Amino acid sequence: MDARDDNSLMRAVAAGDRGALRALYERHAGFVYRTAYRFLFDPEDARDITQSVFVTVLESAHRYEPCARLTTWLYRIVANRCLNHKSKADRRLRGSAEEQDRLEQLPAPEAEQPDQRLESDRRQARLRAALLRLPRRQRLALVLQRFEGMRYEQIAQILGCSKSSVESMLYRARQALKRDLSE
Amino acid sequence: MWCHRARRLLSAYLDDEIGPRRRALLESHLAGCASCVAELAKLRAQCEVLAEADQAPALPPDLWPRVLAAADESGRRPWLRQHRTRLVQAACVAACALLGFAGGALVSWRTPAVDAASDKVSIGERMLVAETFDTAAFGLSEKKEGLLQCVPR
Repeated sequence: MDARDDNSLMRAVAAGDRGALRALYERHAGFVYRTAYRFLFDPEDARDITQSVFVTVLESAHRYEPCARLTTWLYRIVANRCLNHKSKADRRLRGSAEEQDRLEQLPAPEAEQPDQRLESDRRQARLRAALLRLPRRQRLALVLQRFEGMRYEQIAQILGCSKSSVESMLYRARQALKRDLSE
Repeated sequence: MWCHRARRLLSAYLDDEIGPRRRALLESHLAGCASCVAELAKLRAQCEVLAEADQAPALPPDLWPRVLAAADESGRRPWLRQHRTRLVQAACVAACALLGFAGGALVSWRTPAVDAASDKVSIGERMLVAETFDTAAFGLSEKKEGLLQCVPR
């Protein structure tokens, strides 16, 4: 594991050091991949986003000014990539019919297989579909808060808005999820 | 505090993101409002359901080679493609500067000024006299102390 701090690694990346890029990847790729996956629920989309984030890191390294923490800058790139990514899952849900068919094909809990695993899979599919139906910024705020345990202040920095906007986004996201899941 | 206001705060309350004053107001409301307490319980249950969805797979081990290949590809990209945005910005600035310069030159050519600091008669001044006076009757002879001298022909 490379002991250099993030800013030193960025300077080395700007100088063309691929080892430094690897060190940054090992340090932060887990977060990038997890966030992209939880945002889109598609492993291939999550791979695409992770790859594109680190290529952006490489291409922007010479412009990077270490005035803030690298993670804030990196998380902003991740957020932008997620918000602008045209995912397969999203297209399915916006079109809705195909995803609805897929959900309906999952066995119902009261059908002949009262298996707990199937019940849980079905519940998760519904939950994922409900999450994917949320507006993108609300969904990302929820992913960062709920799954990454970020504070509102940090989410506001990443999304480029105020703390009260984050509070409002999370409130609306939870209300929408409540409505969606109770139907 | 009214229920409507209290319910808007429940989400931030669950996330431990409200200040002590709002917290005290909300808790005093919750102490006497069963329906808001029920709403809070629903939100807590929702958090548990969300935790169930948190099954992100581990980082795929074959992803780094893919990132490295993309990084190499990016390094091999032609210089023009890598700096496309900057080049477009620079071209826009240059075009604006050129337009400004051309516009300024056109305006100064159309409205020639008399240069009082010089006794030399410029082309612009000759044009000004030609546009203002009947050149058949008057001719521009010279300039003295910044003033044009027109003499009858």
